[in-house]
Amino acid sequence: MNDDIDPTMKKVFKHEFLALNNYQLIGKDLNVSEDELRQHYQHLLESYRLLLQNATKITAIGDINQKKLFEAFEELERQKAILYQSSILDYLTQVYNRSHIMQLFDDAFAQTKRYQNIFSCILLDIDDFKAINDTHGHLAGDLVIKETARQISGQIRETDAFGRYGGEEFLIVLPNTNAEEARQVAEKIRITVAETTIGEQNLRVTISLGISDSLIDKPKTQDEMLHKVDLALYKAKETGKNRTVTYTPFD
Amino acid sequence: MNNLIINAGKDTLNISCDSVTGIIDMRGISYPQDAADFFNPVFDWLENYINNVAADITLNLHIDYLNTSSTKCLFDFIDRLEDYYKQGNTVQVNWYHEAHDDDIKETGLEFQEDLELPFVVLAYSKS
Repeated sequence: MNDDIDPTMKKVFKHEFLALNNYQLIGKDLNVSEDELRQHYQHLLESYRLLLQNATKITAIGDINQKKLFEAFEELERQKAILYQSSILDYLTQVYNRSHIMQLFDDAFAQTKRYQNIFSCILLDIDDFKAINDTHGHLAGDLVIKETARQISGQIRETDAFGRYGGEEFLIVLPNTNAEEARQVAEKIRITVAETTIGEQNLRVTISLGISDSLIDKPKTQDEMLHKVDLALYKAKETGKNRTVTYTPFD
Repeated sequence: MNNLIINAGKDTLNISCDSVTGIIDMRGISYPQDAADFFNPVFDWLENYINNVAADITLNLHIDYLNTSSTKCLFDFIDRLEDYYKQGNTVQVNWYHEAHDDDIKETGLEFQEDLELPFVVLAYSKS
């Protein structure tokens, strides 16, 4: 059996292999008396007992260390998940941050191109946000952003992705949705936000929303499509705020 | 006789053996490719110490992780110390574990079981 064993392990168990070889030699020696054999047998029994004792201890320690290792691994996975979450979320609103919502926008754009389906996006901005900050302070401003984000989150559909695009600006990506369907979502959001009172001061805000989809004017790049939603949002602001405007090519 | 110092590697213990005080310190984690090779110089140092200095020995263990081969090697090392102790010499083994680390404490208790030489399991707090 000795020949099948890993040489590294043979070194780790060198005393045990040595003992085995010695006792094998004694067993073959015809000149050994019965008394001597009995003595050797006692020694062999004692080594076997020690070996068994060590084997059980080593196994127990091996199990403890394996458990420790797996627990460390689980903790690492947990930390990784937390780290990932914090890398994709906006700290104030806990919705996706700009880099992640842009990633999802890019993904949607690429998939739409590849599978020739459609997607929409909504760019929205809180109206007269500067006035809230100036009148009620930055804390109130932060609360307005947070609460507005919460209201929007409650109105989008499960497949839509939503993130903070800038200070008081948000972007929603709506896969497999045309501009008309996106408009219905946008209007629900607009009305909900307008009807919500925020904080102890019962602040009220409205939002303006711009919409475009991936078929209108067939944008060739992500930037081109974003530019169109931006124009639509600009028009919503210009024509009186608290409204939804879908981009049209002939404006 | 010389002291022996082995600096910790990525997968090996930090070991220091002091020929004057007879203090052997092992700390860190151990999962080398070849555990027997790694521990060989430490066994050699111990034989040398036992044969030439033949004074008291203290083994301090601050272990965080041992793979199975390293565990076996450490058992053999302690067995050798036990023989030395049974010959009438003074030997002390101290197994240190962080107060909250039950796994390392349990490992120490497993080592301690059935040994006839003085072996204590000691908690310390991370400061």
